[in-house]
Amino acid sequence: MPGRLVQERGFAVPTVLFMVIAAFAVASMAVVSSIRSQHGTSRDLDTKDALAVAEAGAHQALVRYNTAAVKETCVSPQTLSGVWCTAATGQLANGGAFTYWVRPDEGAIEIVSQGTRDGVTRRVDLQAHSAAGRQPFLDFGVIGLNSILLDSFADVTADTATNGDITMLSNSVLCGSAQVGLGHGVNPSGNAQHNCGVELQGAVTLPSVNQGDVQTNNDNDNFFASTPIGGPKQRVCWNGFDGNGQSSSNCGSRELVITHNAHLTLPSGNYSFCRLRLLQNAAVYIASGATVRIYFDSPEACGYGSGVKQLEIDSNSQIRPNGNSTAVDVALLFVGSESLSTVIDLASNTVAQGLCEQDFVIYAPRSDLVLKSNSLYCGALGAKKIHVNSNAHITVSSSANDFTLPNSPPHYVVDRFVECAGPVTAAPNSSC
Amino acid sequence: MAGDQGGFTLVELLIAVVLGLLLVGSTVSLFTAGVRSEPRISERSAHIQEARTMAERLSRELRLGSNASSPNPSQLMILTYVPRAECGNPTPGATQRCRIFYNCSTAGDCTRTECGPNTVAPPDGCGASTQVVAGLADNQVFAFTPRTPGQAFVSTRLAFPAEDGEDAITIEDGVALRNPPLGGP
Repeated sequence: MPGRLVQERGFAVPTVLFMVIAAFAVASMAVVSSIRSQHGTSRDLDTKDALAVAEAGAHQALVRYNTAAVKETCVSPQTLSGVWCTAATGQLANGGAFTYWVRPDEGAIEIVSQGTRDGVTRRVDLQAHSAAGRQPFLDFGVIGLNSILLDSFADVTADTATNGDITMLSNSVLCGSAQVGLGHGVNPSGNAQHNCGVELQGAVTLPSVNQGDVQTNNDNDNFFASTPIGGPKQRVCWNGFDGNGQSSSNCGSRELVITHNAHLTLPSGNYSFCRLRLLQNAAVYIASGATVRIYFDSPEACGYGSGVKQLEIDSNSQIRPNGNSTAVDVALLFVGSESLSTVIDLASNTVAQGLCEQDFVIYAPRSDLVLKSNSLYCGALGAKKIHVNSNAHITVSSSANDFTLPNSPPHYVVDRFVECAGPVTAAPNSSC
Repeated sequence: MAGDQGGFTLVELLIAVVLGLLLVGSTVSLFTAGVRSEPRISERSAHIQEARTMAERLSRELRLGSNASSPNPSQLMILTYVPRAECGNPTPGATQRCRIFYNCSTAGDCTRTECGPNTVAPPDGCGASTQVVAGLADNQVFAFTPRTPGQAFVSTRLAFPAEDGEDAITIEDGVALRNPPLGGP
């Protein structure tokens, strides 16, 4: 018996072998299943990486073409081949590689970039337009990027556009083409009327204000040596000093405040303001034949909080040509802020370019604009939101339509980004 | 060896039989459990695969989106580019802008409805709604973060419940919209 127990005959060896094989089979299935699962996960990660690499290539191309001195042509060492510039390549530190193609055109650019990472390839197509030399009011004289609200007998005679709704309440009237955002509409109620012009749907954009170096290189020194003051000089305040040269707490840095029947005449120039307030029958006259650009700096640069009124015209105050002059060219340009709200408030019988025969532009793509209480405006308006209230009237001068945005950024702004199907086979933008 | 008359003792046979029974029993038990759980595992696996596909498609649609809104965590609207001959028509075609609505129910399934760009709410101007995922633990799927000046970041969370001793599975992703917003919703 003891001798038999030490022998290797019997079922012990085959049983153990069978169990070992069975265990291996089970373990192998688990390993294969795990590898399959991880393969999907790693491919998902590679797909994201490939997309990121392709986007990196597209943005590198955008930077190169934005910084190029000459637009609408290929940037060296790329050369034109057909309508596309020759391909450029690049490598990222993570091992990803990209190739991009550029098709420069008049005022626009198309970039196709293909990224590859661990054998996974993705392609993106990016179209951008140049904001340089843009005429923002060519098609529409009144633009409220987010919305336009006409309230209480408001009257707008202009082609009008917004990306949101145009809401019309309480006997308001809109005459002119009205373009609203996709899925939005002109919504009249309470006897409001859109009584002439067609209703359209589409998208409208307003490039940001580029004030260049006007913060330091400007004509602010005109105050008060070359800006004749009418009325009591102590009622005019600029940059912490009144018209008599005395220190005043009525205005802060780059603030112009005029009150109580006083007025001031502005000659041609580029001015950098933080705030302009005209109160109680005050006025800013524009000198005959003058071209005036007033840049309102960002609230951050001016040390303001959110909700500041950077332009406030109240109580029968006016901005208008001097005397019977008609030949003036005035634009108020608001830099605004992405994080701090800014407001333009034209209220209580104010008149801005009441004769409606000259260029007069308020361009404030990041500020809200409110016209109320019998205010009268003529020119062209661009703002984030526009609220026309209480018998306010807007008409558009034909010359204001031709206003060209000064110092507009010499760069391309992306307006379409899509992914393409598969790698490049024919034209770079095929299947995009 | 051929002349060896030695056989197995009773004890050896008993041990071998007992071991054999234990082995066969455990194998049958494992097999039975596998057969019983296979449909459930397959269904769960299919749901997870659906969820991964949905997450991938949703990420792409968000990436190419210009506008998004989410009135609550179970609903999402995206205005985005899709390669379609016509919005709502599954036939592939040139890339165009469509409005897509995702709606997840308390039963744990989500549907996708593709509409024309001007559609404010389905079903007007929309194709058929299709179920894109099922078996979720809840319908709290979308988290919408508006960003100035109107851009948005949307994160998605597809959670599957723990079942019969298996762990819960959650698939999460987040994407920032790449196209400039058109204003409004």
